[in-house]
Amino acid sequence: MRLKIYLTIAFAGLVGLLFAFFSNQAKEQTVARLTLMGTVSELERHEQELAGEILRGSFFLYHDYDQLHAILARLRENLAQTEDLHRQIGADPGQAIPTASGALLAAYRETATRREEKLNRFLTVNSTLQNSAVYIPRLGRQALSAASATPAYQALVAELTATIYLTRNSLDLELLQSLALPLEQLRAYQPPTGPLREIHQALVAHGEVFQAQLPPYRDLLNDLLATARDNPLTAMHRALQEENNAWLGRLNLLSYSFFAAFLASVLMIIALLIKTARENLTLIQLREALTVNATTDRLTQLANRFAFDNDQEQLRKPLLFLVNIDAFKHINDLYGVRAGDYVLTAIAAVIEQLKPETTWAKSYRLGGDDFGLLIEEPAGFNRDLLAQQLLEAAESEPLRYREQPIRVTISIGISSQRPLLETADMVLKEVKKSRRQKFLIYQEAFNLQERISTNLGILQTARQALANDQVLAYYQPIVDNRSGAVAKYECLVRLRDEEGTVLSPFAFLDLVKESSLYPEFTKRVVEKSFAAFRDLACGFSLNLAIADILDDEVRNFIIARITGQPETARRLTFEILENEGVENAEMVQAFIARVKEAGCQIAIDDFGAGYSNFAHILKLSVDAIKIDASLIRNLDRDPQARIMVRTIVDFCRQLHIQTVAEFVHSAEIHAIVREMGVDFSQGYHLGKPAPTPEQPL
Amino acid sequence: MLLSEVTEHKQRRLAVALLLLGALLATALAAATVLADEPIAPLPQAVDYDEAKARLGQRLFSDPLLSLDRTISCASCHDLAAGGDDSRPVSLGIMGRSGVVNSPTVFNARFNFRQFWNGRARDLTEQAAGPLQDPVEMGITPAELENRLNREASYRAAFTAVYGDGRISFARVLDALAEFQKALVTPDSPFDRYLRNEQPLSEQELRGYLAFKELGCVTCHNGINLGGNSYQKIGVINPYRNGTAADHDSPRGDRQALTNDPADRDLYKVPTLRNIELTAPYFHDGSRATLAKALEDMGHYNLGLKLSLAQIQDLFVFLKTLTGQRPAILQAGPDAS
Repeated sequence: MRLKIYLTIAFAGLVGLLFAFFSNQAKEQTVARLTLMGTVSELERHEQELAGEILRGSFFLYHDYDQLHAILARLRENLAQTEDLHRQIGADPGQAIPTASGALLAAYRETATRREEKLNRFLTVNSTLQNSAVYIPRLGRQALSAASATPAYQALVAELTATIYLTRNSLDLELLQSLALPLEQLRAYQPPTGPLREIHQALVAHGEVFQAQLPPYRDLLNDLLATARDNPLTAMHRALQEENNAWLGRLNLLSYSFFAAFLASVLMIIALLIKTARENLTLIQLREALTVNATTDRLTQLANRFAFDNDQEQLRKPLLFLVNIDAFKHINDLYGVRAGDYVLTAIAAVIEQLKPETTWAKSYRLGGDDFGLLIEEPAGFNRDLLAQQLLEAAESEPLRYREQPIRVTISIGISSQRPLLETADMVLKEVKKSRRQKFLIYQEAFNLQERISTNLGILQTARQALANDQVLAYYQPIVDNRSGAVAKYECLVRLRDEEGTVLSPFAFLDLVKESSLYPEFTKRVVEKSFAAFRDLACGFSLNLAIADILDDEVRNFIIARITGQPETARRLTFEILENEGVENAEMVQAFIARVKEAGCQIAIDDFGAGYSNFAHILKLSVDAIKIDASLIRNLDRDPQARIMVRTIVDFCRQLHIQTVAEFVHSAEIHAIVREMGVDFSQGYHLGKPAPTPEQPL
Repeated sequence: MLLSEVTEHKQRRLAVALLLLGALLATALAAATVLADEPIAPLPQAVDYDEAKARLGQRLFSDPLLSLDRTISCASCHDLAAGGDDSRPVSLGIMGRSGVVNSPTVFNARFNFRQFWNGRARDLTEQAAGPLQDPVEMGITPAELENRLNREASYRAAFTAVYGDGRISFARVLDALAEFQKALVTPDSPFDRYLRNEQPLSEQELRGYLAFKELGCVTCHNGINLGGNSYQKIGVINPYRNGTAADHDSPRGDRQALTNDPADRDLYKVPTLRNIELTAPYFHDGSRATLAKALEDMGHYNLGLKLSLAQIQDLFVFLKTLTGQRPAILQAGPDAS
């Protein structure tokens, strides 16, 4: 392209230079040709002048010959100039061959040279004749008046003079013939001595001169006048005109060629411009495509994180719905990545579909299973409604991937507080934690910085407690409802800060669970519980999170304890949170099998909250389930809760699964759960957690 | 036809002829007086020439360095203090050699249509090369002349001043000599002043001028130089003789010498009559010592008549009115002498 541009410029430059050169040439040629025509006309004019001057010199008896020479000089000068100019136009490359005008000019030069010689001869003869013409009348007069002149002689003299004058003025050679007779007769005449003789002799001599000189005079005069009238100039004038026409024709052709070349240059430039414009267009399209690619998620075709960062800056009142697919990792594990992708696409479609139409709104894929719906929030916008619509659309029916139903649940964090993504993520975490709320809207109270600094303080306290052995186990009695005796103790984690205050798990456990300190916490509680119950006869239970089981260090630590204290282990119950993924993780099942082999029991904790699933219980072959506090707490007032508890108890009894009621905070509740047939109870009414297990009542 | 009838017939013819003659004469004279300008023009009172170059030419003109034996200069034969010629019938060249024609005057030579008696040079530049190289005149070669001048510091300086560099070439020498001669014009003769209506001629002078025309002298001696504008024959009526025994075959330096055409025998460029009283001796061979003799012989050769004493005197008086002022370049300036 660049080469083409350079070539075009070079071509245009060349055309320009050639045009300048040829137009200059043409100008010089034109000037030369016009001047040449002028000088040729001038020559023709000089010829006329010369003819006139010759005639004057011939007509008048005496005349200033200088005039003739002056005209000749001008003519010569003019001729030289003409020849110069002709050579100049001969320099035209198209004129290399000899031209008609050139030949004619050379012929004229020759004519002019010859004419000059003739003119000199003419002047000689002219003067001679005129001298005689001036002198003969005088001689005639003298002869006629001489005393000795006879009438016959007088008649002869008169005839001679008359004939001479007739002849001179007519230049008629026939008249000249008639001069011969009187001249002959006069020559034969011998005048008597005296003045007449001398006059007579002179007269005869002049007559003879006249007779001899008139024919050449006439010829020279005719010749000179003919030359002036008819010379190569006329033909040359015509030839030059024709040559000029031919030259003009070539010039026209040349100018057409230049115009064509000029047009070609212009067209080439236009073509290049069009081409450049097209390439620019392609580049613009390419850039747009790249921008789209850079800002679009390939799988879901939603805008990506990059686009989100750009867009959210533009909004005055942004509102972000951060949508996360719950336990997406398990969907991938279970159904495969393709199914995962299908789920992602489906959720993306759901979000895209529910995008509000009345305000600016755009959906994004912000991360692996994180989606965003960003809108410019209009006044009075119903955030809850949109969140519920999203939940409804995503969860109402299972997705179907190759006929396989996949139930998907989502959590939504909503925020209008910048930084949008961080605040929305924070509330999303709250949602995940709560397990009861499906969406939360970020409030000012969730102040991020404050939360972070508080959290850092708690983690610091936890770290120090680990270092100072202030991670404690507290023990809450679990009472056998039939005997009323303490059957076992649940071991609960506590933490004593630097001021000696014992903190409940609510204050630190969630934070610690997300930190690297958690395995050590679990190990401390396990260690302290094993130590506490080694010499006691009663059972004890430990809370285990799935994360504990999946952690190699913790798992191995627990197994080492069980192996090291088999007798104690036989009295141990592991309380595992009912949770998705429990039944799917091989590691978890292997662990459960291992500990049951050692005589440990397995209980499901917090059953009845969230997604309680009887099938899970069967799969895990649990020994006991602990009915969630939310059901037990209101048993005295909530008939539905009673129905659920009764159902759970019936179900468990038939499967020989023991039941435990937690949060038994009053005698009434205790009475109800006993009446319902729940096997064990725990709660503040029966015994608060204490630093040491109390001796059985 | 009867004899009487013949005579009568002849007489009638004569009468008719005479009648015609009268009519024609009247016509011709009327035409001549009404239409003809004066056939002679006055010299310009000032002429154009390059002063510095002419001064250089003036110096060269008088320098005998320009002749082979360093004996003569241009001025030797063209005496500027006299009539621009010399007083010998034919000039003396180097080593006493002599030519065949009389030295013509350099005054007003620029107005001649050709140079030399037989017109073999077109102009003064071309002319100057002749005498310089002629073995019977100055006899020098261009190379020798250039050598001599280039050896002279003063010439090198002078040529530098005129031509821009000190390269002295033969062509430049000719150029300078020609430029000097262009300045040699003798204006304001009494006749020129008469032509310009500044001063009348005396009665005799006017008679002489009239005779000059009536006798036909003016048919050849016309124009600004009263001659110098055509070739004419001396001896139209009576053949020219210079008075020597070998006359007929002696070299004449005429047109024939140039053209080999017998018709050109005794044809010479018509000499100027300006300053004629100063340029004796006369004719191409300087064979007539006085103007009166020259006038008388011209009558013989070209009119076939012996002019009367009165005619000669009138013509003589008229010719003396053709003597002009000395050229300005000779009257002043460092080299005027």
